[in-house]
Amino acid sequence: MEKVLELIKVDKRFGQYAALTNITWSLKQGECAAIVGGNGAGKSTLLHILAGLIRPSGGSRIAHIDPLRIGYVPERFPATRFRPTEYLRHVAAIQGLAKSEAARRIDAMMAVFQLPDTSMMRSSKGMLQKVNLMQALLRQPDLLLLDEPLSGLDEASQAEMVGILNETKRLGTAIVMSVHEPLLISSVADRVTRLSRGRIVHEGPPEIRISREEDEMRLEFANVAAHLLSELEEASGFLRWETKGKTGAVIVRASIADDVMLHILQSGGSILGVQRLHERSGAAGVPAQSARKGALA
Amino acid sequence: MMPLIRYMIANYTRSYRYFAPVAFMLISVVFIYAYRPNPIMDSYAVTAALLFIGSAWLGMNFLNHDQGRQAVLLIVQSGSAGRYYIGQYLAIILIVMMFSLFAVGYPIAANMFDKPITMSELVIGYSAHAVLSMLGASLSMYFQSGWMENQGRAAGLLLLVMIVSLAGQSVGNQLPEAASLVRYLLPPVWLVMDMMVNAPVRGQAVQILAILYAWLYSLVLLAVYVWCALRRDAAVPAQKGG
Repeated sequence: MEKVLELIKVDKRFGQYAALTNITWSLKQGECAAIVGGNGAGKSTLLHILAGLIRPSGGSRIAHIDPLRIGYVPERFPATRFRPTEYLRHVAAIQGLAKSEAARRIDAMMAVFQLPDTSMMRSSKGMLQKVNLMQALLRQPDLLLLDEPLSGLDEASQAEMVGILNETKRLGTAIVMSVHEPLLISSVADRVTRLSRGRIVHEGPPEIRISREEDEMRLEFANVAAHLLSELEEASGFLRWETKGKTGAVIVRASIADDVMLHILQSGGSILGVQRLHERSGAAGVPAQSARKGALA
Repeated sequence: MMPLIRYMIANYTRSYRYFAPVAFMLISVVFIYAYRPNPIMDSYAVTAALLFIGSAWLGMNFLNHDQGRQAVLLIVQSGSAGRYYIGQYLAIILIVMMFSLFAVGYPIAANMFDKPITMSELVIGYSAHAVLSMLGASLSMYFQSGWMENQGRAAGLLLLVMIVSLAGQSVGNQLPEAASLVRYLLPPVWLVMDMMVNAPVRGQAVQILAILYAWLYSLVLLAVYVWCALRRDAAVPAQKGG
């Protein structure tokens, strides 16, 4: 895989304060790096340097693709006085997308994100975060930078975000995200860069941990017969329905999740997504990609 | 560049913060022509000076209207910080040029002058309005919230610069003979006004030189602004502590 961006011995000082020191780091196409670290570790400064929004005090930032198309998702998206489609049409024009292509992408994204086209001034934080991600993905970027992308999102939106990021990565976009949530790290990241006081103190693959039996799993399914739903309700590890029906979602104990999935598949049903809900052991949740993901391609 | 400018203007006009400077420019021009007849170049000198004040006000208002919250995204989306800064400037210039057209065209359309306007008066009159609007817009770039955190102080300083720019002739007269050329370092609003008020005695060459000087002065202000802006960090993550 070709390198997308490289930092060589980068320093950044704000006055006397050294925000980053001697950072040598690179990222390849289709790779996802999670930047972790406490407050003041230098995560946002690193993201801004990668985005070209901050000039390094020393060292160099080398883009190996010219021009490098960057999508940037700030932690807080500033609500504008536009509706999402109006705003995205402006963004598409600024990025040089043709009108017809922009309309196709915007329609597809509005469907994928299931976003109502109402004024952003009246939108919730979760809805704004969706617009935030949409503006960054509108023109398939070479490099996607995300600052705390799951911040303020509910569980369903988080799972959706994980699916979209995996799909974006599959399409060849390199992703760098400043994150706290283990869900995102274990589900999307290929490697983890840990910063402390502006220095890289660890670089390596994310830890994959296995679910413990008492963990809760969310299984999303389709084409399941009514009698199977009744049987599932009576199983000892069944917890609750999220959506009950031929297509729906159920919350079960991790201990019976494999059996339930096997049963659904053997009866002719489909599994659309699997997600671990409660963080007890830090285990991985891996949402399956739904059919909607194709809209991003 | 046009889509960026279109977005900036659309975003600004939806904020309704444009109301005060726009109302100032429109009402003051209409007020100046409340009675007829009016001398052509003297009236144009006054409305051009008012437009200079209105443009500086509108420029500052435009640059501050969303506290720079969109700046980082627009820089990434447009692909370059330089494009973003120039886009901001051109958006302001586009708006104030429309008011220049209004200020020059309104008295002609409403037949408010004491005699028919000649082509050279029209050209000099419009050029003076355009160049003073541009000068006001160029000055405002330095007083935006991204450059001066204390906006109360920024507004006061801009007001002071506007007064000195209008009173450059008097400032020069107060200085010793040897230092009187210092007035040419001040924004040349006074020079353009003097050229218009004394149009019959100055001659066309002086009129064109005054307009060219004000135009060059604005371009230098813009160039220095963009040069400095590109050497600053567009984002300040230290505020977040990450």
